[in-house]
Amino acid sequence: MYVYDDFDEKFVRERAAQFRDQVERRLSGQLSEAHFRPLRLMNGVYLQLHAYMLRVAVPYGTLSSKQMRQLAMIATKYDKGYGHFTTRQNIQFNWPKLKDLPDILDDLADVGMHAIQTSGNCIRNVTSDQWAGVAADEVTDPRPYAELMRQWSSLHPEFSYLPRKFKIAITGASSDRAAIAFHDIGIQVLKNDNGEIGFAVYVGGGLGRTPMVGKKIRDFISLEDLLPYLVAILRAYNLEGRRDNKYKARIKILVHETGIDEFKAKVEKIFDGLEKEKLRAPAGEIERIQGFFALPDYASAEANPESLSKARSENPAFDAWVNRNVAEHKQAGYAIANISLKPIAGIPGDATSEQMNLVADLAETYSFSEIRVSHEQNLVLAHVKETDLFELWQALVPAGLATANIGAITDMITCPGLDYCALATARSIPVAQKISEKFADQKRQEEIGDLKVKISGCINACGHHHAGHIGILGLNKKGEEYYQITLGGSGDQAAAVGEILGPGFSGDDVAGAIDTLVNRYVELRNETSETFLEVVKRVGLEPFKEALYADH
Amino acid sequence: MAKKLKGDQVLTGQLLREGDVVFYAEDGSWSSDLQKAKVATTPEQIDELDLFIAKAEEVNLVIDIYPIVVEKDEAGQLVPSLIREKMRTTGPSIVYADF
Amino acid sequence: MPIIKDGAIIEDSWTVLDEESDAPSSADIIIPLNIMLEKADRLSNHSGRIGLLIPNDVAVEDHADLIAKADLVVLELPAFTDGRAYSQARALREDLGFEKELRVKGDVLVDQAAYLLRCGFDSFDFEGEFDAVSWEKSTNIMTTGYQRTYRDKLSYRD
Repeated sequence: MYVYDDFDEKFVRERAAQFRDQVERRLSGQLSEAHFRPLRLMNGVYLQLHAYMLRVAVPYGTLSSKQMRQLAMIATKYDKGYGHFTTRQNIQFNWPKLKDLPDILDDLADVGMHAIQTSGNCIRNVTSDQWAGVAADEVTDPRPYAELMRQWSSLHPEFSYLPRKFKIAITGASSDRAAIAFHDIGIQVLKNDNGEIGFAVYVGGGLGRTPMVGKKIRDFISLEDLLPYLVAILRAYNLEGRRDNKYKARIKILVHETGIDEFKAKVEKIFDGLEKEKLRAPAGEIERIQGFFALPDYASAEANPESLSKARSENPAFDAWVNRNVAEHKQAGYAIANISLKPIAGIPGDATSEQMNLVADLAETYSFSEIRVSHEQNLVLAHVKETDLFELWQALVPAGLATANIGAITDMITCPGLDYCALATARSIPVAQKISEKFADQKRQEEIGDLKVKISGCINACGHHHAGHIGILGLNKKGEEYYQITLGGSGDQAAAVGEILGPGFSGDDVAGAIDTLVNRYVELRNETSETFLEVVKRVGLEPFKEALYADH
Repeated sequence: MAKKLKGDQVLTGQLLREGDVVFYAEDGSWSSDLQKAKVATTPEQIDELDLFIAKAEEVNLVIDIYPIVVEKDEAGQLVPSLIREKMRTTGPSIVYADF
Repeated sequence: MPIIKDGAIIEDSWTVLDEESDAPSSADIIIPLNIMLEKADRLSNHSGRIGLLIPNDVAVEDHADLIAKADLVVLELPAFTDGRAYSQARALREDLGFEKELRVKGDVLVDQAAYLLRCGFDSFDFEGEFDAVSWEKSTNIMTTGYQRTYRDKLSYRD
């Protein structure tokens, strides 16, 4: 993985010093709250419902064991002993104090981390496929280009006061695990017929109150022109994006109102006029970054070892975990081990300091000291020998980290909701907990198969409800929380926005409603392999509406 | 001009240095205990509280100050009317950091 | 409102021409783009320097000829959160090759000065008071950057 050189280190240290000065000026009253607010946001500091919140960047979801231990230390020393992994592969601390934040940023800088641009109307943390570099269906590892964009976007002098936030995601695989269609810019790494790396570029995707699937703006932009092309898109947006209405300020609205063809023409015109040479990555820089992402030194390892099949047949729980949580790896004899942060009736995405430390240790022992965070709020050990899987699982079990539910109904994306968030209209976590309890039975989860449930506590859609096979949106009607259900959304390469089924449900009734929908799906499917989305596509929403509302 | 709230009101905000939720108390201090809050019941008192916000923010001790509507429960305890403010007063409704 | 250049308050010779009045022909005048476009003939006998005030919603490349003749361009920051002038400035400096004085006018915060300098602004028409100490600090605290920009004094990796 990428390791800071002296230059990167100096940069984050200077940035931390700058924030320390700004906090001092704020505390002394020299800087007003109105002027401080965008400065703190661009350093990841929010004022939430009960306290400040710090969002630390985990660039494209890759962490070292050392970095994870530092996050655990921060959670223990400055917070309440836990953190929350987010849908943008970052981690949030819910209880830091403003007076401590400069020290926290210094502690992060000690391990090559920062909180730069995890909030604010600027380019946010670049996200990617949590299986980057090891997925069997990958053209190439997208992370060198993600790192290039991380550097390019950091403290960008031109793009730090955009009309609204700006999110970029990149994938190098044919299966989209990074939800690129729902980003302001989505990038797919390609190889042309000459074997040269380039990128298909999508623009104007997003969730929130106006969900939209991104539209293709370029079939293939060359590697050397990637940054100049991003400048052209961002400049068009910075100049023409709406600033009169916060809810219409994202690039998706500009693209929608302008039309993709006209928007593309504007971007291409700016692109043609750019002095590109200066905007490209410096010579040798891409090769330098790529060097950090060379595959680790895999040992020759036995594929499908006898010991693994034996352990699986003797331990049904381990077998279930392998079935659900272990994915195919590029390298024979190795596997991708996904660690679920969705224990039954737990808080989706939360991890305690102890759990973080354990995962750091396990990564060191079994996975080249590297950890990934997925946008579905789980962790990944990306390079585990098949012969080590059983030992790894045994170490995860006592820590509550061995839930066998990756991709299953209890593996829900859930935003913090009204338990933490100042913008929320309803709680999300208790709803997720009730659904999780309802479907706790492993056998039943397996019968249902893959099913993505996503829950947001307000229309801003941080819980990606629009992209859920089943989406749940928490609202507030006459002082009471109620929940609207959508069906048919998808966040992958077949991206789609879910449709609202009908009247909403109270917090107590949501889990029952989901149960009804799932039962209906199981009845309707022709064979167990027919997925939820396939059934919705085939039969439409009617049978589900009937099941839900027949008695009403 | 913000929409006028209906009902008895107290002022709430968050401590600048720490971020903790506080309420403007009878004795002129800021307290984490809602029960100590100064309650405005007449239109004049409510206007007075509203006018106090800008002055209180100048002190640079408490930020994001705004009025909330409160009621008294059966035991005579002050309770915010809105669910958001209830959550803000009591803290997360879930058991956290306990696995 | 003070004009800041190179981190200090300077005497300013420029006056803004409004719709009605004419400035003395030898004065240094700043002319809003719309007046320039409508009444360029009024300036045929003008011997002083001419500056151009370009609003926020104008694509600078559409007025490359006027800009090339200007001795000063003024861009606006109506609110510190409105970042359009940053893009206009870079387009002026890096794509149109404008080399004369580039001024920003409006809601400039000291914490934004470094970004403004990097985008090519070299003078600042400030609302509010100027504090030379915090200006000095804020424009020098970052010495490194990942983006090469116009006359940038930061250090880069290469």
